[in-house]
Amino acid sequence: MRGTERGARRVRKAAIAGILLGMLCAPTAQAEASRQLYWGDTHLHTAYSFDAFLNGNRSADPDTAYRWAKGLPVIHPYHRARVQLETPLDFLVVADHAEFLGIIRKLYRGDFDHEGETPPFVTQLRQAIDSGRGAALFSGVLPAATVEPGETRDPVDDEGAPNTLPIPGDGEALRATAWTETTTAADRHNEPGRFTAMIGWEWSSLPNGANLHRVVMTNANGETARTFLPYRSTDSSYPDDLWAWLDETSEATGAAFVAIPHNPNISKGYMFGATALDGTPYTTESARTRARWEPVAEVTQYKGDSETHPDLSPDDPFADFETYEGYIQTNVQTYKASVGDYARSALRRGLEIEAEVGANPYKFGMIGATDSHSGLAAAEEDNFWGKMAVDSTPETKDQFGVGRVVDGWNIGAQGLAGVWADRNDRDAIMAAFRRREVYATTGPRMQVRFFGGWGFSARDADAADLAERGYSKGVPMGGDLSGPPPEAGGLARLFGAGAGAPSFLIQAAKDPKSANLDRVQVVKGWLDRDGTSRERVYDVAWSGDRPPDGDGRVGPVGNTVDLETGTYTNDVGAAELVQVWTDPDFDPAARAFYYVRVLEIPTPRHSLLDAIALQDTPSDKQPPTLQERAYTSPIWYTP
Amino acid sequence: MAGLLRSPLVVFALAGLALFVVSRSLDGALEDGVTDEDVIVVEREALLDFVQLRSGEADAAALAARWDGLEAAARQVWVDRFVREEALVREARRLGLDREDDLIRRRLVQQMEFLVAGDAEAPIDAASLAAAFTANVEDHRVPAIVTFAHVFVRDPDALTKGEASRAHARAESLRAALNADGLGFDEAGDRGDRFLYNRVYVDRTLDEVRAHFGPEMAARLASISPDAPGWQGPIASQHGWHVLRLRRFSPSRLPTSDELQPVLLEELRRARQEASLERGVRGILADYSVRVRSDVGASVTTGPAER
Repeated sequence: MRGTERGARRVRKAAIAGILLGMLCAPTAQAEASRQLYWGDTHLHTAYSFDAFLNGNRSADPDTAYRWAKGLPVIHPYHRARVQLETPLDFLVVADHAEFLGIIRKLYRGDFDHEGETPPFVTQLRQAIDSGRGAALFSGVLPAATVEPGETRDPVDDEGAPNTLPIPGDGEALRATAWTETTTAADRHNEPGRFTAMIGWEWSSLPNGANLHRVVMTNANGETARTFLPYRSTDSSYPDDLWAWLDETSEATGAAFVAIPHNPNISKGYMFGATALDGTPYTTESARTRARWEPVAEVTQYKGDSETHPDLSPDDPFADFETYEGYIQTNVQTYKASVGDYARSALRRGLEIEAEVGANPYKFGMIGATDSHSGLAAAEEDNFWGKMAVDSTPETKDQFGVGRVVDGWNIGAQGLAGVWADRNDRDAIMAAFRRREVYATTGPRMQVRFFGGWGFSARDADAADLAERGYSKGVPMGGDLSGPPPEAGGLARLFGAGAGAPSFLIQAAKDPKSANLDRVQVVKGWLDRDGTSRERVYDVAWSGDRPPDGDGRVGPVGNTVDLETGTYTNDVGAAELVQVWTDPDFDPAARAFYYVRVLEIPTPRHSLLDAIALQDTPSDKQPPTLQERAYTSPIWYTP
Repeated sequence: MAGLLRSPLVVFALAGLALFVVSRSLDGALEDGVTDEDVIVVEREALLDFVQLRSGEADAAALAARWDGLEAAARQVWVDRFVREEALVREARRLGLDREDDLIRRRLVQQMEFLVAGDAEAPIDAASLAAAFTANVEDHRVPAIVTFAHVFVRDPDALTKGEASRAHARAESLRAALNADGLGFDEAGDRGDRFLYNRVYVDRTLDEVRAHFGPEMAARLASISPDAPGWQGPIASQHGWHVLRLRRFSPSRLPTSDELQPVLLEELRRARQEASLERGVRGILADYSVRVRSDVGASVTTGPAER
C-alpha cells in the first residue's frame, strides 16, 4: 500500500515536473517553431573573380548577381539573352575569389593608373581574352601537382604553382577599390526582412591541386567590412592561418565570420584529413578552433556532390550521385576518393578524433551552394546557365575545362542552402549557420524538418504542432543529444517514449514547384567499441506501397522521365513524408551522428535537356536523369 | 713623321677627324632618302617588354635580372627576333594588313569605346534621380508580404467538392472554438491536422503562399483585413481547409524614392555610361559621310549627333 502511494506520488511529481518544464519551454519552443525557412546561395562568383572573367563573364558584376537573385530579369554575360529566376532567393553571398579580386576586370577595361605604354601583361591579357584564350591564361596560374591523391605529406611544402600574375602598378589599390565596390553593392541590395545580401569572399587555397577552398561569410555591413581586405591564399595556404586571421579580425571589428569549406571531393584527402594540413596531430584546442570557425560545410555544388562516394560507401545504392573527378591543376592525375574527401566519412573521422582528443574538428552542418561563375545563382536543371559563362549554351558546354577530364556536361546544376532562421537578416542568418540549423539541397526547395530527442512518439508525426513538439521535446538539425539516455520507465515511459534509444521526428515536403519525393533516409555513423567508425543508411519513410526487403530497404520508386521529350510526371512519389524513427541499433556507449537524406523521384538532368535541344544523344558523362536530394545537418549523440 | 704620328695629341686629332667624316657620311645617307621609318632602334626597355610578352615571364624584375646574366649570343637571338618582328610589323602596316585583321579591329573598337564612354562618375542631380524614379519604379515593386497562422483540416477534395463535406464542418467548428476560447496568433498550434509546410508564416511573399497553398488562398489572404477580429475562414486550398488568423498584410506597393535611391544611382551610372558611349559614337559618326551602295539593300541609321 505504501509502495503504491509512493508510486502515485512519483507519477504526480513527474507529471508536475513535466508540466512545469513544458511551461518553461513552451514560449521558446513556440518562438523556435515560428522560424522561417529561407533559401540562398552562399557561393556566387561574378566578373570580379579572375577565373570568371577569363572564362567569358565580362559583364555580370555583383549588381547583376543580386538582381538575378531577387528575381529581376538580367542579361546573360555570354550569350546576352535575358534570363530570370522564377522563384527569387532570400539571401545571397557574392563570394568572389579574394586572389586578384576585381583586378583582371580592371586591367582589361583599362581601369587602372599607368603612365606611358600599356604594360605587357595587360596587352597579353587583352590578347588572350579577345581571341578566346582567356581560359589558357587561367590555366597558367593552376598548379602542376606532384602530390598524389591520398598522400599525407604537407602539400604546401611544394605547391607546384606560382599562383601569381604580374599585376602592373598598385595591385593592392585595385583590390581595395574592388572590395569597396562589392561591399557597397551588398549594402545597396540588402533589405532586412526581404532580401539579405551577406558580405563574403572565397579563400582559394589550392596547394598541389588539393582543393582547400573556403567561402568566408560575415554578418558585417559594408562600413565594417571595408576596415579590412579579404584574406587570401596568397597570404597563406594554411587554413589555420585563415582561422587565426578571422579570430583577430572578429576581435578587432566585432564582425562574426564563418568559413565554409567546399569541394572536399577534389581535395586529395586533405580537406578533412586525419591531421592538420601540415601533419600536426589534432589537439583538443585545434579541433575546437576548427569546429568554431567551420560549423558548416558546402557538400553539393556545380563541381559535384561531396556527401559520399561509391568507393567509400559501397553499401549505399544512392552514393554515386553527381560524382566529379577532375582536380583543379594543369596535369591529369587519376581520381581517388579518400576519407578526407567526403562529408560522411569526415563526420565519421570526427567521431574518431573526438574519442582521442576530446573534441570533434569535423562537427559540421551541411549546405549546398552553386559556385556559379556567371553571376547567376542558378540551381535548377531547366534554368541552368553553366558554371562559367562560356559553357552556358548547349553548343559550348565542352568549352569549359579544355584539356582537363571534365567539361560543362559533367557540371551539376546544384545546389542551395535551406536555413531555418528567426528573421531574414544578416544577424539571423549568421546565427542559423552557427547553430547549424541549415541543410543542403541539390536545387529543389524541399522543406525538411529534423528533430532528435528521447521522447518522440508516433503521435508527434501527425500532430498539427509538429514543429513545436520537435523543439520542445528535442533538438533541431545541427544539435546535440548527450548521454546517458533517460531510462525507460521514468518520464520517458510516462510520455510514451521509446526504451532508451533516441528517436527522430522527420517531416519532408516536396518543393511545391518540383517533383514528388521518393523516400526519406536516416544516415547513421557511429564509433564501435574498438574505436572504428561505421555507417549505415536506413530507409525510414517512402512513397507508395513498397515493402522493404530483409535489410529494410525499399526498391526503386520508378522513373517517369521521357528521354525523348525531357518531361516527367508526379504519378509516383509523395508530396510529403513524415515519420518518427527510433534507432533500432542504438548503443548508449557509442558516439554517433544522424542526418537525413531526402530523395526526389527521378527527373531530367540539364544535360538531357540540352541534348534534346541539340537533337543529339545524351552525354555519357553523367546519367540523363537524377534523383535530386536534400541532406540535413546532423544531430550528434555523445555518451 | 713617324714620331709625329706617335704623338698622342696627333692621334687624338686624327681620331676626331675620322669620327667627323663617318658622322657626316651617315647624316648624308639619311638625307639621301632614308627616313626614321627605316631605322629600327633596339632599346633595352622595349626589348625587355618584347621578351616578357613572348616568354610569358610573369615577373619583370626577375626577367631583367635574367637578361643581364644571359650570354651575348643568347641576347643576340632575342635582338634578331625583335628586329625581324618589328620589320615585319612595319611592312604589314605599310601594306594595310592591320586594317584587314578582325581581331585588331575588335580591339581597336573596344579601346575607342572605353575612351569615348569616358568617366560617368559625375554627380547625379536630383532631377535625373526623380525622372529615373518615375520611369523605373514599377520594375522595383515591393511584393505583398503577409504574416499569418493557420489551423488546417485535411481534405484533398476541398476545392472540387466545396463546403458540403465533413471536413468543412469540422473546420467551421474549429473556427468557432478558436474564437470562443479567445486563442491568439501563437496559441492554436495543437489544433487541427498537420500541414505539410508551415503553420505560421512570418513576412512571406504572396508568391510563396501561392506555391504552398495555391492561388485561391493567396487571393483570399489579400482580401482579408488584418483588423478583422479573431480567426477567419475556413478557406479552401488544394490540401484542405484553413482557418486563419492574419497578423500583418502589406499589400504590394511601389518603393519610396529614398528606398530606391541607392539602386537607382547605380542604374543611372550605368545608363549614363552607355549614353555617354552612344553620344560619343554618334559624334564620331557625324564627322563622316556614309555612302551605302545600292546593292547593300539597306541604309545606315546614325541619327543626329548629340553634342
